[in-house]
Amino acid sequence: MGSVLIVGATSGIARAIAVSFARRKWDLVLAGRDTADLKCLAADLAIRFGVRTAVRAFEADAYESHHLLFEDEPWGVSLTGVIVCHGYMGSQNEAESSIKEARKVIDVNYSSYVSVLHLAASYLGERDAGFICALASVAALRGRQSNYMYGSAKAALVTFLQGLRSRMARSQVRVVTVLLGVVDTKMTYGVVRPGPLVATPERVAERVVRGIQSGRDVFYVPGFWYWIMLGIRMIPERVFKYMRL
Amino acid sequence: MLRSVTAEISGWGNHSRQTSEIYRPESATETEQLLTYDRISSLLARGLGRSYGDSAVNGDGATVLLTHLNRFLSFDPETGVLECEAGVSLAHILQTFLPRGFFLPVTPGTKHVTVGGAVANDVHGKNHHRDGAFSNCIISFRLMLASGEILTCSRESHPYLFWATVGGIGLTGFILTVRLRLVRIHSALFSVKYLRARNLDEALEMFTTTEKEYQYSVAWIDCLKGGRSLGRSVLMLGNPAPDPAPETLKPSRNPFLRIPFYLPAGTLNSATIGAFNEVYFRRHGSGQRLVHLESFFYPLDAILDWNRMYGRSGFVQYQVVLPPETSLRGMTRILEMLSAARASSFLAVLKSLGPEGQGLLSFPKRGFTLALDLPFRGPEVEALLNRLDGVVLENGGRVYLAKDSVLKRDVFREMYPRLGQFQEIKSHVDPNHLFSSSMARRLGIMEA
Ligand SMILES: Cc1cc2nc3c(=O)[nH]c(=O)nc-3n(C[C@H](O)[C@H](O)[C@H](O)COP(=O)(O)OP(=O)(O)OC[C@H]3O[C@@H](n4cnc5c(N)ncnc54)[C@H](O)[C@@H]3O)c2cc1C
Ligand SMILES: NC(=O)c1ccc[n+]([C@@H]2O[C@H](COP(=O)([O-])OP(=O)(O)OC[C@H]3O[C@@H](n4cnc5c(N)ncnc54)[C@H](OP(=O)(O)O)[C@@H]3O)[C@@H](O)[C@H]2O)c1
Repeated sequence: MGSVLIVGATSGIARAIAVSFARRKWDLVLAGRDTADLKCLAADLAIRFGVRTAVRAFEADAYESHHLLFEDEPWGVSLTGVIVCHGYMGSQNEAESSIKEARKVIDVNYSSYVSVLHLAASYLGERDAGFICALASVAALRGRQSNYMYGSAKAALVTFLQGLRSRMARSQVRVVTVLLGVVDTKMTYGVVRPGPLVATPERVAERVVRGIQSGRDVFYVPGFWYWIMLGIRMIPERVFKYMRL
Repeated sequence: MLRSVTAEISGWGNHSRQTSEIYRPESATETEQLLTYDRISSLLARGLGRSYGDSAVNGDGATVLLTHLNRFLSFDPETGVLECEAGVSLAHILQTFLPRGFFLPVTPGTKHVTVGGAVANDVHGKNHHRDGAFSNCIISFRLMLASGEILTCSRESHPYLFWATVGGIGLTGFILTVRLRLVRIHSALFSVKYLRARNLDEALEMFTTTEKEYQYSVAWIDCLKGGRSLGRSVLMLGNPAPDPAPETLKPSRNPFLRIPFYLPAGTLNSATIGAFNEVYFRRHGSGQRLVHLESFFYPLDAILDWNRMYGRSGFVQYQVVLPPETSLRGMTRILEMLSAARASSFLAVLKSLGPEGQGLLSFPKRGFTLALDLPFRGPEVEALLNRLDGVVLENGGRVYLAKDSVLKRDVFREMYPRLGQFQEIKSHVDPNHLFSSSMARRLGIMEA
């Protein structure tokens, strides 16, 4: 198997994705800002699955250091895949009156992705192999009053990935967009009530890894969100704008 | 700022629900942040909530689920020493290490408990008379104090804090990581001998006579029998199977049944329980069998959410230990009082316990322990249990805090004579009582 770099690896979904890859015997490079915590995850994966793990520091705002993720290859072998997972929901309310909060949502969910994804594309492009995957959201597919700041940053990401995919289409580098529904992590804890629409990170992670391995470009996880979003996108704007969603 | 969920929670017994702010940190870093929030008046760690009463509940305060701190940190296959985060469950340990030939030296009757919870209750298994309590396999742990300081506690370093935290029901701080010793095992099969005891006297006798020969022992009591058959039971005596068969180190099957919702209260009554017991006693009368360790150690884990069988009103578990001299007298009295009160117990388990350990609030001490499940019917059951507490105290015994929800302060103080020492250490490491629980307040643990 190859090795995969997970950026934002302390995220609930990223942790589960790391487990899903390790179970398939992939080596893992875990990048995030809480490196002490990532060392715990790295040790766990090595003990449970016997894979190699390495930890790297990553701070979304520290653009000038993003390139280090791709220069410091552990084990002296090239990465086969990059998955970018960090994210920040932010406060919609606050973002409406504070450009600082609004920019933070844009920077964490979009600008830093531009930086990391371009570096990943050039790194893998040089080797003409591998995959790049980014976690987007169904929130990108329609702006809602309750979280259009986050939604619009994710929408920018979705469009960016489309472009990047077509740029890389003639190479062996694949670009994968995951449109996630609601997942039970710290992002949604205390915000969304548990219920049948809320998926576990473990289940989501398995779907993401299988989706990547099956060679799909864009997919919904869990799959039923395709139908929900189909419905939501069909509502005419002049009706939708009055809906309290 | 970590978000919380306001919810009604209870222990595994599903009664006396209380409103608490539930936090779910993902890391030690996030756990530490909780110590500094102004809006938090008190904190309590919670594992998998398998304690029956209110020891893992912090009503009106913050209850902190530490189940996401669940990574293995190091493992040495030479020595079997495992270091893990405190939210790792025993089930997870078995799943990972049983196939490699390692088992837990001490395990309670369910594998769905966390290592942190097992330390905080200093849990015991069917081998306490031989191998002692869970603390016996603990080398050290890292404890986060109210001040945010993290101390590594062992028998050599901060021993007082070690023994206050072992069995200390979460009141000294957050246990973050634990180093424990696993033991080698060659097969997941146990050879189990079944013996029928006609009454309590005979059962206690059998525990004593078989003690040398068997590492593990437990008895199921048919509580519906009175008179000369009072305490009729089936003893199950086990040892690891001597002859290692290949392919047997697999963790066992997933649960095969789940109770999907609360059954109507009263589903378990003397008729259904009586019928169950009859069948059970006929099937397990006597003999010897090879049994997978999961069905020997965790019979109830085969049914997920089995606590819903007792309906929405829930149930209490009552577990006591009595010294060897008074066990027969005291337990006879307890069983008689239960039957006079027409309180039938579905599950009644008898075990023998070895010498007392050093945990200041640890439950086990030499003698026999009896555990009973009773449907919760409000004050009536509480009053009955308080009468039983009196019998236990008279006979020099004590009640297990992991199961308790009704014990009175003065009785508790007499049962746990090392409370004073515990309080001293507690007020030293947590002078403002940031760590507290519904149980601690009910029992006046922080009050001189
Ligand atoms: C079917 C069944 C069988 C059982 N059999 C036995 C048995 O044979 N022997 C026995 O001794 N017990 C037995 N028990 C009781 C059970 O083993 C204990 O209650 C155990 O402590 C539960 O662990 P938990 O992770 O669910 O902890 P919880 O019940 O959630 O918490 C228990 C206590 O531990 C504290 N705690 C939890 N995690 C931490 C942490 N990280 N740091 C600090 N404090 C912490 C909590 O504050 C609380 O006081 C049984 C329970 C069930 C349901
Ligand atoms: N959960 C959902 O319902 C859901 C739905 C749709 C899409 N998504 C997307 O899926 C991805 C993973 O979500 P999740 O729920 O697993 O996330 P999560 O558990 O909330 O974790 C968020 C992650 O982002 C990291 N992060 C935030 N700001 C950062 C910064 N400035 N620099 C570096 N790292 C930063 C966090 O690091 P720390 O641990 O150090 O804080 C953490 O690793 C995100 O992109 C999210 O938007 C989630």
